[in-house]
Amino acid sequence: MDLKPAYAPPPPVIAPGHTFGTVTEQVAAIVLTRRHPYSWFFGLAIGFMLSMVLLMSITWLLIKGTGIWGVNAPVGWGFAIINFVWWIGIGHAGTLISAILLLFKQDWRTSINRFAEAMTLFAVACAGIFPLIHTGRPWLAAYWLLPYPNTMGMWPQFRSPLIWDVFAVTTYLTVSLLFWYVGLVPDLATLRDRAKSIHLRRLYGMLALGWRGSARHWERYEAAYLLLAGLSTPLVLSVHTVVSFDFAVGLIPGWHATIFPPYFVAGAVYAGFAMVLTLAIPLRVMYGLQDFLTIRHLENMAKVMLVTGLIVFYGYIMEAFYGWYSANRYESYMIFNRMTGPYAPFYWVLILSNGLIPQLLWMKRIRTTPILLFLIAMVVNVGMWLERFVIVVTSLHRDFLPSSWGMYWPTRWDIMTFIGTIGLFITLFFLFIRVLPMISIFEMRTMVPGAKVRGGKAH
Amino acid sequence: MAEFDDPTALVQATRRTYDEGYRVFDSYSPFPIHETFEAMHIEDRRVPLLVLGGGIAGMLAGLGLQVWVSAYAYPLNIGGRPYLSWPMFVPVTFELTILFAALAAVFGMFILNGLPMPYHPVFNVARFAEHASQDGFFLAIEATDPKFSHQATRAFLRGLGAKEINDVAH
Amino acid sequence: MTYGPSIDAAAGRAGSLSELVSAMDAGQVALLVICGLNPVYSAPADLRFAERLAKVTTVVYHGLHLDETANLAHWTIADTHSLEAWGDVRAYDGTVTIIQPLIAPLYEGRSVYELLAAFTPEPDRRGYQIVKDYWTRAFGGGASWTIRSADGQAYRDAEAFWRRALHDGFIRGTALADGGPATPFVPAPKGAAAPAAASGTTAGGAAGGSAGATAGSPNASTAAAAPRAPENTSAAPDVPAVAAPAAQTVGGAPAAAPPAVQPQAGSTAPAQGGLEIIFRPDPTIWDGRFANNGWLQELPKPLTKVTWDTTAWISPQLARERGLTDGDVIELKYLGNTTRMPVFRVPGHPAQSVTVFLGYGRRMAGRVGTAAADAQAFNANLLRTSDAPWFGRGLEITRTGDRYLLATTQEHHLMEGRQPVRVATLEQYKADSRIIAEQGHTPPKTLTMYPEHPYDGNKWGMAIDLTTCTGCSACTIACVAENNIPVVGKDQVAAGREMHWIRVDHYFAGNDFDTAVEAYHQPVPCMHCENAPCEVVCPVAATAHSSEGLNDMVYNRCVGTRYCANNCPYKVRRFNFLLYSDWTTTSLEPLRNPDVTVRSRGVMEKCTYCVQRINQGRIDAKRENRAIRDAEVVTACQAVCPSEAIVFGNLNDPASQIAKLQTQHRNYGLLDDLNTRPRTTYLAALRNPNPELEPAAGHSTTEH
Repeated sequence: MDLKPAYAPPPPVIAPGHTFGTVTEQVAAIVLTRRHPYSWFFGLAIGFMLSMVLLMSITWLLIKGTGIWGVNAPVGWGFAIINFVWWIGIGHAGTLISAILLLFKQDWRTSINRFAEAMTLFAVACAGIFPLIHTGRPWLAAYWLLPYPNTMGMWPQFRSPLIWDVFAVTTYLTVSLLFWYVGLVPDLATLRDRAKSIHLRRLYGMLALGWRGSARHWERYEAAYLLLAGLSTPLVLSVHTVVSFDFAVGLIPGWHATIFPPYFVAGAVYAGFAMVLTLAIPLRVMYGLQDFLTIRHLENMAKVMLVTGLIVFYGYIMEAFYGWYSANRYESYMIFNRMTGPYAPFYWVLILSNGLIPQLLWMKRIRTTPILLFLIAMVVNVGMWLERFVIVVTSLHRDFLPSSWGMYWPTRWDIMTFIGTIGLFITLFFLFIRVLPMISIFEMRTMVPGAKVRGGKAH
Repeated sequence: MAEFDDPTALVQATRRTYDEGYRVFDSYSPFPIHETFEAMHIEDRRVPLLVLGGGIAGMLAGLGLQVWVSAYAYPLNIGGRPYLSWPMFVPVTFELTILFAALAAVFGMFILNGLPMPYHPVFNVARFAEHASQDGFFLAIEATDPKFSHQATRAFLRGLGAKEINDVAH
Repeated sequence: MTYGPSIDAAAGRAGSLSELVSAMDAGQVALLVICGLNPVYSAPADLRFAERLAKVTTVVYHGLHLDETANLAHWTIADTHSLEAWGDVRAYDGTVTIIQPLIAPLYEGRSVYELLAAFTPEPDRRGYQIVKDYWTRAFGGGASWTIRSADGQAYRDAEAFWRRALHDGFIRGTALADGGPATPFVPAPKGAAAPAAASGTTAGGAAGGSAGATAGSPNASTAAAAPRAPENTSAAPDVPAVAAPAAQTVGGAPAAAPPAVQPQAGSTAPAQGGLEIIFRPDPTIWDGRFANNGWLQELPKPLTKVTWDTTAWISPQLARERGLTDGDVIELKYLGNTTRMPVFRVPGHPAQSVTVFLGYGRRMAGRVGTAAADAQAFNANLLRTSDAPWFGRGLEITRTGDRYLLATTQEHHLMEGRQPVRVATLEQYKADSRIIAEQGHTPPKTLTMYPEHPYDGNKWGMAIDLTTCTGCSACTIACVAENNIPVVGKDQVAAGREMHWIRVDHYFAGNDFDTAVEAYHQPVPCMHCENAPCEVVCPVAATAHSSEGLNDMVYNRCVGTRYCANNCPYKVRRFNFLLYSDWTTTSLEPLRNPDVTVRSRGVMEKCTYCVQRINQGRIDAKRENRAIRDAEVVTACQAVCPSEAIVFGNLNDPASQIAKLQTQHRNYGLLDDLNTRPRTTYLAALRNPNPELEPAAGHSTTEH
């Protein structure tokens, strides 16, 4: 009888049979030589149209004011902040993959980190729109939240979590951009050397900064890359912590809770991986990248989703628990209202999509079936948006004084602005896969078996 | 400049080049090979130090700005909180620490590497320009090295088992 | 409050509205002058005033607006506002005061005095002359009208008396208690032309005065009776009673009054079945005369907090019986008349009655007051009959299935187990005054580790007495007037964006909507918390704390993140979601208070403790080199409160009223367990129930 070994080695991170050349060829060709599939044009067209919807919505907002949205008293924040937190959360997966998995020496990060980092940048760009436009006077908010010397002698008020947001998101955007760019430099050199047209060569050449693969350069490069990863790790934890402080520093029930930082960070990773899967699964089919984005990658991402989903579910259970345990009338009403009040359907769909449906990922069969993974990832995307809706709206709409209780309903402009940012994201992402290698080529080369140096030290 | 087939060959060649006494040389690969760093005995401590310096600078900048603004430049009674409410200054300080450290890492690394440097003599070798960033492995010994002698070095490189040897014009 | 003898405003009045209408119907009226009334809209339905008006040969309308009656008149004459015209008034205690205008008429109107003067031999006299002539003649008018100066001496001459009266603002010695005359002064006629009208008060005392003080009939006793200021006496004497029905028009002896117009059949015998209908003037726009006043339209009605619309009040029991909820439109049938109304459930309302309010459903009331097409039916006047104008039986209501959007500022009227309003009975409080403090939990001052900011100068605070607050909402309007607060309109109120800086919250006691009866009102301005949660979260320091304890709102720094509003547990902050202030209507420019910024969109605003008044007080005190005295700075809400429930002042002054109030055991801070340390505190409501109504007086009315 054939006994299976007690431990089966994990499948390789790259399908067998590749060389440095084929790896380079396959990824670089997408950018340089291959004809793009119709799905790319179609996707870009959709993205562009929705981006125009975004432009129109923002223009009308600036002309009339935030009153075109559904915000009111008591619910002063609605879709804009929900979307902000949703987008930022999505961005965290890219950094986690790039930085944290690097520190943990997880090879499977290699084929996904480039486009995941790009996803981060575009998600943060979409996110950053909202804190600016949701203000009553965005033309002033654009610079008054920054510390600069001025004739008024005024400075930002540093105790406010919104200022912490400014610094955190700016730092996050900058560091992610730099990290991504640093990783791109050797690949830009590859594209420079492969490009046929002189204009492309010049363009990629400028961006590649003259990189030539010198070992002396690589040594410093690796040092810097590792340090950036080490810096990005606490950064990504701190950014969503700071975003959670937007709520935790507030005093209304449902916001004022110490569980928010870990709960939000876990939620961000959860949402981010869901989005990475949402992107990775169609991409590998569109461009035939199954050799690099293997089932093992999808399965690992599914496992990360499962873990973070459990942490988030724990957060929901804790909220219910401390609603009761606190013996505080306002807290217990808050959770009671979430479960049974006018927004109860949102709450229960949230529990279903974020808590229950992802439990299917315990089953290996589901984890390794791309189409099912895609569906579950979409459910989680929606669920994470609903989580922010429940946190923002249900906490604000009924707080301490019953005389202030009210309702919030989004207007068409709220919805159009949100869909517009999705369009912006799609546009940026599709442009990215057109002009830059979506997989980190030089890192993939290290995954090729021939990359390992054989033999021990010479002396 | 010598070209090799695979990383192992390059690493062995690098070790022997160093043992031979050459110092002004470099090995080129399309991905980082740690064994070459050891072989060439290169370890630039300046990058981590710059990052540390940047981090400390960021921390001092963040803390300094907030303390100065809140307690000296324009103190305001905000919610009855004390002027030096330092726990609330931590997030911004933290972020600036990371930001400055990261900027130091990136710009420090590029500057120490001498980048951007769009032109370098090695690009004059056609094989290098086509393969160094993709699937080729190269070792170049520079003429400014004290041990360099055109014929001797060439012979040496041949002895390393190189696939091809080229002179680098500049 | 004290009660004393009052003037009978109806004395000598000639005829009633019904008699006038009968005369009109019989074609007996050739000239009808309507001063300051809108009978086409507000007369009871059975009188069919508009129809009968068509039978009058010449209709002259004198008023401020082109309303429904002006629309049917042959001539309209623009009135002046009472603030831009000379006039006179006799107060309830008899004191005579001369009304002096604040400004010259803005739009070339003629006051009612000047209008009626047109019917006299001296038609071109202006208001000042008319009033002065009358009173200088009254001054020398005879035994019943001797007017002495304060020191008991006679005035030197009429001119001295007149100047004294203008300077003082009232005429000393005319109060009844001081021996002032009980009847109006009637000067001797200046020639035989004008018959002495027995009713010197034709020009006055109509419509029971604006206060509706006369019991029973609110109908104008003469349709030509004049305006808002009760008892304008000076215009009367020289003017023949032009409006007395039939007296003028048939030239001579008063004709026999035509038979009274028959009211609709069936109304004489009160119907036995059906619901009871109650007619009330609307709490904010009265009988409809203020329909075009945006402030009053947007002022929430005291018990329901509905704005911009009228509702028919029913009890929760009746609502349940008929399957009705707030906003359902019902059809009301009463004595053959029909109309529609949206309902509103009001706990404590008698189960078999329906209350409807006058004033809505106007068809010509200006830009603000004209009802929308579907709301023009909501007119209670369409149901009203002249014989029983305030209540009757025989009402039938039916559900129409239609819904109507009602814009309310408060959706939830139960306290939900919290205690924003703390209540105790007088017995309980006398037994143990700690009962109020025990209904909440005030953190001790030693709770904080941090040093506190000192407030050694003026330390402003406010106390609001919930026992005396009647929920009248005058404070809300005073604040609107003082602080240039914009009117946002029904749709925006429905969206939750009303801009009132001080609002009057209304709660029912207990947790059961159906059986609640006790109602409490709680005015909520900014608490000016010492540990303001709003200040901490503003990213640009647009709200900071002043050294006197005010939570300052800096409009020009605000970028509008609304985090402060989210973090305010009292929800007193108001955001300009759109550009609500009217930049373009020129007539609104003089409306505004020049001491207060007019806010544009995207900026947060809230109660400032009338900082402009505090600053003025500080300037005055500094000029005179002294401290600000107690009660020298009076906030707008404090000034207007009829029961003096709001007290503002300097807590650091031990002799000030506010300092004494805040040490009372009744004093508590709203939501003080949050440790916000509010400067605005409340004095708990003490009830003193009749033991026959509430035998268990020791039983607390609050829920824990």
